[in-house]
Amino acid sequence: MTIPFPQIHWAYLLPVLLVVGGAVFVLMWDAFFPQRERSFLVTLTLAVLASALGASLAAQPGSEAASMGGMYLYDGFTRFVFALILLSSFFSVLLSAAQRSLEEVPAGDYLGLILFATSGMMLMAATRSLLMVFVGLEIFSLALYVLAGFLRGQPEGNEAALKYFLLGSFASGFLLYGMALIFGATGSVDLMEIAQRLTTSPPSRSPAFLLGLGFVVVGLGFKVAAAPFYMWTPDVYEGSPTAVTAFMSVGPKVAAFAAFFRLLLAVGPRAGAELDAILWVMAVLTMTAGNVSAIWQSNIKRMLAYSSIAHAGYILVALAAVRRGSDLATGSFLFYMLVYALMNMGAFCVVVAAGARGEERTRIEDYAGLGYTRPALAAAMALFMVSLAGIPPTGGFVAKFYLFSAAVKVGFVWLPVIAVLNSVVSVSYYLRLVVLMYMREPGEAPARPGLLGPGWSYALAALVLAAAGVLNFGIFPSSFFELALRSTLLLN
Amino acid sequence: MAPLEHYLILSAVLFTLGVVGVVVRRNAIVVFLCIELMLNGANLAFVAYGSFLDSLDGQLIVFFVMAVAAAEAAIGLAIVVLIYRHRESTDVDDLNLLKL
Amino acid sequence: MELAFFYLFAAGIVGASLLMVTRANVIHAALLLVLAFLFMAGLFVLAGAEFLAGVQILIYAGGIMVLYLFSIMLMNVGVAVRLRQWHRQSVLALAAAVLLGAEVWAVLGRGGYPGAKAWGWGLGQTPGNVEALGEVLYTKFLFPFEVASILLLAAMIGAIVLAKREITR
Repeated sequence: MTIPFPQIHWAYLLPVLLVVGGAVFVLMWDAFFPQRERSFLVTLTLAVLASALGASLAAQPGSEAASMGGMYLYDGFTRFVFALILLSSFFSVLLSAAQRSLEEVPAGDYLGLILFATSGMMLMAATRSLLMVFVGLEIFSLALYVLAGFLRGQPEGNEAALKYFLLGSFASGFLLYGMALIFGATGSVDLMEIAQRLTTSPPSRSPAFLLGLGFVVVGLGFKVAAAPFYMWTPDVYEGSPTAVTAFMSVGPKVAAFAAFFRLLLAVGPRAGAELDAILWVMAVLTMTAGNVSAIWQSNIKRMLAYSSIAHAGYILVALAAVRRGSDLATGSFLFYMLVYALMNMGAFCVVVAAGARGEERTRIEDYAGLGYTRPALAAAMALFMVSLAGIPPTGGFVAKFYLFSAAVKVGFVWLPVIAVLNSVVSVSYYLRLVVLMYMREPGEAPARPGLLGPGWSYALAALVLAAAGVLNFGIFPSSFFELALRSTLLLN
Repeated sequence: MAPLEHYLILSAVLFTLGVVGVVVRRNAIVVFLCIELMLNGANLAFVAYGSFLDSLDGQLIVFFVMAVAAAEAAIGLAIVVLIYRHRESTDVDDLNLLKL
Repeated sequence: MELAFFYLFAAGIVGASLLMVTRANVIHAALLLVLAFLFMAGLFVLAGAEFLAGVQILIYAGGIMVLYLFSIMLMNVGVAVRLRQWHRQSVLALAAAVLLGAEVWAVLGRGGYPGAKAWGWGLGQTPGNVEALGEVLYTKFLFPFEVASILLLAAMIGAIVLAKREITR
């Protein structure tokens, strides 16, 4: 028996290889030269992520882009999602370098795990096989469980890690059983083969297939924190180190939504009305639960957690439209993820930068009067809040506009209406923070502004990048939206 | 030869037992064990379907599930040991610093 | 005969897992799960997956469960045994019953399975089980196979980071 060496398209695989190789290199370097400055490893990690971003932008998806029999799929969609994932990792490394409580942790292990998580997200997004979705999901989930508890002395962090782990592996159990049922009903875990089987033999739309699909949706719903599976989110977001929280609120969601998207694209047109109803209900529940709960929060990380749940709800609106076969919806989905990544990362960056050593500013009350004590930081926060609320002239408004109009175009009526109403509700808690920053006198001034720590340049870079992006997408959205639209050419 | 349905019902029973255990039990380690049971229920379904469809894919997926289960066990137990050092307890309900 | 073995193994698995879910003592629970995994290996043999049965015993029963037992013994089990063991929520029982019902409905109302041959792969019909598995593993599943190494590496590093004694720079 001879086993042929598989044909490998190295250019397509390069972004993933760079990230994995970078992770191993960072770990090794820290093991052999532990006395080196931490900033060197941070710079190295940023360089790895930037070069992976460059490699994925440079690799033009061609006709032969399905490598390894669909296990690894490099198309326009993959390319855009890679850029999103790498961008969010880039930001979280900047935030980690700026966060003072993370200064004492072993940098090699920490950055290595961030890179491993990134590679897992990329692999999960770039595949046609449910098996690779499962394995990629596990890679980044395991890395994130550890990152959540990385500050081992902090009981809150440990607790967050355990909660995240328990619910995360519970959810992957559902995902796996769903995969088994789909495998039984269609004879494959490859989305393209599943789609073919569904068209050629309608009986394979059996109860087993539908229940399997439901379980897979449950598993992915946990990862994107969609209702009713979002209960873990505020706790885990609150307990984890802020830089890790920022990563969790963007990276895994991008990857899981990408996998969700590919699933819908494959089975959507054939699985019919059941999915429509499920997505509709999920979207409405998710955004309403997120927005209504966010109003009552007194901790800014919990508020941002509920806000991210609400945004997952808006993105589910796009997925519902994608199921009806709208390219516009796909483009607006990608564009929304891009803007969401920037504004969310920016908001978390302000939280990191506002904190001083040992005392993070996590209560919303702590932000009273920030407009007087730290005007630049407050202005940035105000910008991100306005964008998250979806008020022009920011990227958040444009992204929501594209997304909801895509939903209207495919014939949804109530879904966009409910989404707009939700946005109106969300203005209340986003602007409450802005009002607090500018209309209230500062409480007792913090003993020492945190931004003057050694990581200030990283925080500054992240803030400038995010703010520039949010404004740019708000004022000149068209070129990037075009890019997102062009990225929707898929292979399957 | 036992019919396919027998295998599948058994796998459904195992999966459900695992789910019930996760939801009902309070000890973190027992919860882990129940998650393993869920994974095994899925494994049994994969093997049975694979044999029925005359496809080796089912068995191969089980290999990957085992790798994932091993990795999960390592991380999960590390987290529990970490918490136990601080708290001397593995009760899920003792996780009360982060209020719901 | 085979049917009899199936029922024997199935009864063993269900019995062991039921006890596992209900036992107060964590060590007992872990050992019962080992027993369930051994019976599961028997079922794998019946289903024509001989190599998998071996792997099940080596990796699951021998590797993973030993890891659990070590960790349990690292901690003080006596404390855990005395605690209240159950959440008292009868709603959950109902939900579980619904879940099981849905699953059974799903697997029984199976419609037509595509490509289904006559039922019966039987023992000994796939003598080259290991060879055939290896061939598929290193061709069709080569990429996930390589990716699994990333998974294991990340998990190893994560476990070391969390469980090592001191954070020192």
